[in-house]
Amino acid sequence: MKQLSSRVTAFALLGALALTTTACGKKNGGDAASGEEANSFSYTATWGADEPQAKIFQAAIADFTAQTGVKVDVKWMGRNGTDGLPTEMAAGRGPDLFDTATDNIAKFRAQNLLAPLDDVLTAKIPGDGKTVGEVLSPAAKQASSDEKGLALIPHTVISTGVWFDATRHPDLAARPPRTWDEFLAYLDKAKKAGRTPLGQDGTVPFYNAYWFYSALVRAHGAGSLYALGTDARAWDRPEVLAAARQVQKLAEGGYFQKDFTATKFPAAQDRFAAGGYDLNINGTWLTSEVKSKLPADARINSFQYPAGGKNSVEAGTLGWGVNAKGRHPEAAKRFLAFFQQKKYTARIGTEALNIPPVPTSPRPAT
Amino acid sequence: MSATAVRIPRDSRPSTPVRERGRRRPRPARERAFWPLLLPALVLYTALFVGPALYGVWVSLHRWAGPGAEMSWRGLRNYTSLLQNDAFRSSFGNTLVLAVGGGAAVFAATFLAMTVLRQAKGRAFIRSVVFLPMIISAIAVGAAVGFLLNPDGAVNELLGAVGIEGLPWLGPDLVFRCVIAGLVWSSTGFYIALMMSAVDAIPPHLYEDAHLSGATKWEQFRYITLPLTWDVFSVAAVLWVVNSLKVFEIVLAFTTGGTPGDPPLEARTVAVQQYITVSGGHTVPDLGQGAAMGVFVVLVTAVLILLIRRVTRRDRVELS
Repeated sequence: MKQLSSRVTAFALLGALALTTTACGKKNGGDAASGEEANSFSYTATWGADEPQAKIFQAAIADFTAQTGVKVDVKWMGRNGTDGLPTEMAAGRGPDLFDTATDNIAKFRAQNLLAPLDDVLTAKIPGDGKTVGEVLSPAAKQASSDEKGLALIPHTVISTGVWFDATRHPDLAARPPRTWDEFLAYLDKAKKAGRTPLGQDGTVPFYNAYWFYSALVRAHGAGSLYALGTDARAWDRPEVLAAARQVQKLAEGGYFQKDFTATKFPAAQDRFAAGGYDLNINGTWLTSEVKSKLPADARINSFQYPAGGKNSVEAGTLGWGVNAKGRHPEAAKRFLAFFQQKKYTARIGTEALNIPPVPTSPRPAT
Repeated sequence: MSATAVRIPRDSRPSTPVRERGRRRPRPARERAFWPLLLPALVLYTALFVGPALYGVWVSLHRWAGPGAEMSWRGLRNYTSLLQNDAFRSSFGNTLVLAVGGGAAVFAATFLAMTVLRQAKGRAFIRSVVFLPMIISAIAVGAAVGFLLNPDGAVNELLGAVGIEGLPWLGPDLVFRCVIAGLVWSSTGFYIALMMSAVDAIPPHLYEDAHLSGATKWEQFRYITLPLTWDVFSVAAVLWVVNSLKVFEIVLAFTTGGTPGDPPLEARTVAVQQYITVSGGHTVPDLGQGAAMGVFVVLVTAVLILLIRRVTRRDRVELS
């Protein structure tokens, strides 16, 4: 995790991908509630009420209401309850605040549903001398923007890494592989020792694609993957073939568990958590997903895919968008500034076990 | 047995006596009530079905990301690009395989049930049991699939216990066959229930008669059960085709359920591909292309239904 924050430039890979199609349209501003002070706003969440994120947000909402008198009408819908949200919002019946992420920006932008958020960046955080724009990391802001500007206020940075349990593999924690050769040497050593080095939920195509993404982007930096979506000729570049060869080497080298392409999520990541495999490539949300399967003494840690070259890191964000057609966008924006207080953002790291977009906040402990 | 059944030609209608005298009669009440009674239904049907359907056709001629976004005219290019779209072509191929292969399996099992279940002991119980999978939610099926079909799942362990090497059931080569098997498992009960209700209406004495004449089980099925349930079979076959072209959630249950990922190409049906297109996956939604897929599937469904009606067209057999 430390490498992620300290070593390399993060960039908006997912954001770049999401921009492959042009977003059209007129500018929308927050319309209603002009003049009068709104004393409520509504929020539809893609979190379930029992998730740690929901608990953190709920605590912040309770404090917000107590201190400002602004009531928040929250619906904790969970992951699958919000398919109709863009349609609802476009019809003018949507919430003021909604959950979104880097890879959904294009979708909401295409329907002109994203209110501009520059005024949130300049807003002062209550009890803190700084503005929201000052505490959010530049990389997180970039990953939350498209060519029309900031699209969401992030609360979590997501990226990918190769994960391991530092308690069971202190060697990896002390000296993670830094080159492709070192990585292969580790895999061969683990295989010889009778272990399965890599666990993979291979029925999920985008988890498999992480290997290729990482091999290409780590070595060749921002834009190398984006080019594949915008220019067909980019597929003929030698670095693309080289990245694919690395993936082929991994797949054919017998490093993954048997029949990994037939393993259904979450079997492989669960078994990884229980110590069945040494490594698992995954998003930064992995620890929070497998928490209940981890041994008590587990210390989950990660290193970045060791491809050499530019050592770039992929970054995306999860955060909040403000509905351009909502009734009380100003009240929702007020909450966004309120949430940036350290006592809330820190809990994204300590309780939700994810990465807050605020460099001064603690990282997840495990 | 043919003594008790008569064949009724399709176009025979009860003849009505003609009483034309050349002068205007007051219209019968039935005729006067026609429009007032029909109109509310017609208006509702037009507003709730015909209108939206035509709107779907209109959308299919545009590029559109959904309400709030601008629509731009694309004409027939949404349709022509479908033909060049590998993802759509493979999902359509999968759907046809599912409709034909799955249909053959479902009706083979149904016909078998019709011969065996007619006088089996505890048949009501068996019918309930085979119907059960129909009401189990795809989410529950999805969770069970992982436990059963993963490389180290229960099925491979059972096979291992009897000395057979396990298979990568959910891997690229087998996953769609597993989806079809899952669909057959979950929907056969419905068709058995449907067909058995028709079988139950056949008077037992026909079978007693056949039995005395020395007819085998197969002959009884061939000459009594099938002809007397043919109408229902024709409807069931149409229902199967309509449903199989819309198969959706079971694909997710067998593949990427529980993740935000799109199912792998080799397991996609047209409905899944359409959903990915319309929801945008991780890019901009393309409702125009999705609507074009919808129109295309409706046309294919219509053609298949016509074919089935043509193939299953027989003179109706009715008991006298």
